[in-house]
Amino acid sequence: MNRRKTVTRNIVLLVVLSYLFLNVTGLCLSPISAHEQSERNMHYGPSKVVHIEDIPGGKLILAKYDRWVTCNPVNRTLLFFWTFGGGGAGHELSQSEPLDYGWGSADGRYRLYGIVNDKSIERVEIALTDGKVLSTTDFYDGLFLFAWEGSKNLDTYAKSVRGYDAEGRLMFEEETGY
Amino acid sequence: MGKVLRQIRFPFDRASIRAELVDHISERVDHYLELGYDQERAEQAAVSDMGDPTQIGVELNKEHSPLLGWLWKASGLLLGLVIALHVLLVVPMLAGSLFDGPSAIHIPESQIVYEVHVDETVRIDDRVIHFSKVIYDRGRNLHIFYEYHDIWYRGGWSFGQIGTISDNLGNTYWDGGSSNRGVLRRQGYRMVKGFSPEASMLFIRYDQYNRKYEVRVNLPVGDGSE
Repeated sequence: MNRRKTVTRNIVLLVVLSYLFLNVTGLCLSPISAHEQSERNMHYGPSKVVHIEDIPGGKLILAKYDRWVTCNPVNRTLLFFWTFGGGGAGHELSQSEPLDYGWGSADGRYRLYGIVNDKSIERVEIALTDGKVLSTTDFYDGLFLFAWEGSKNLDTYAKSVRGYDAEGRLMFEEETGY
Repeated sequence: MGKVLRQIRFPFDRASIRAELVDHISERVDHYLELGYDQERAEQAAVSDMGDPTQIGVELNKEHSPLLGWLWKASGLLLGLVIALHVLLVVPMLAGSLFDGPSAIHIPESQIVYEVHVDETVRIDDRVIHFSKVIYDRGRNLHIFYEYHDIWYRGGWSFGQIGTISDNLGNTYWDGGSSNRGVLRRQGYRMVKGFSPEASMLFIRYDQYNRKYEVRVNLPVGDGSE
């Protein structure tokens, strides 16, 4: 076989084997394709990505689809590849509450995300079970996101969620039960 | 020889070109020796026959295209790497999927009240699900067997949540179990406990995230006939 034919054969085999490799292993070449694959697996979406947050070892993808919201962790693996975590399924948003949220965790990493329906809420704050308080004024298409790690191998959940207006008045408060 | 080889821009071809030239010159030397030249004159004549070494090098470089050479080398290396990844990751996954799962589920014939061949196919997104049979056993368990695949043969999570299981008597069943096997073409199994022997119709209804399907299966009412 001459060199030109060998190169053509190698390229065809590379394309076929790479396709098979990615399909069988579930590995993806980008965080977004891992997120999309997660949604396809769940028969959910396609959602609109509103924010991507870097976390150690991966990214959190905050996305909206119809009346649902997801915060999907995707992780870098084997240097070049990405895999999806367990957050592909949607949390149904409540339109009646001033603020609605969902949460999830995996491998000692936690996330709490939600929507602000009451537009007067300009700051969201969560209190964690380890005593820390996290606060955000960043909203992405009405959604907010908190991501944190557990302290010293202990579970660290969000204990309460609060929403404040521009003057610092408490507009929403809910205990999560932790 | 050095002047010829300096023109060759794809370094991995230099050794074979050198061997080819040495062969060629040797043949010419033999030829001149046969004509009665002494060794030294025969070698000089053979080298002189070759012509301008730089020009020969330029011509040989055209024949041994460096771009094609590097593509050949790189594609061969990459192919080796991808085959190694398949041997390490893909083959064990495909092989492992053969050893457990629904095919291992055996319901003794003496326990079977009825078996219904279904042959219903539904589709959500790119996933095609084929419900193949339903078995009802004496322990009032209903066993649902199905196969599924992605139309692009993409892998990913198994499809265990086939939908809500109910019957024509208004009962909905939650208790039971499920299992899946396979990688690209998969087999699924769902079992529900306490299924009514009086039910004459099984409903499998999927309604999630704006996707829906319904499968209806006529059942013989608990008398052992299909």
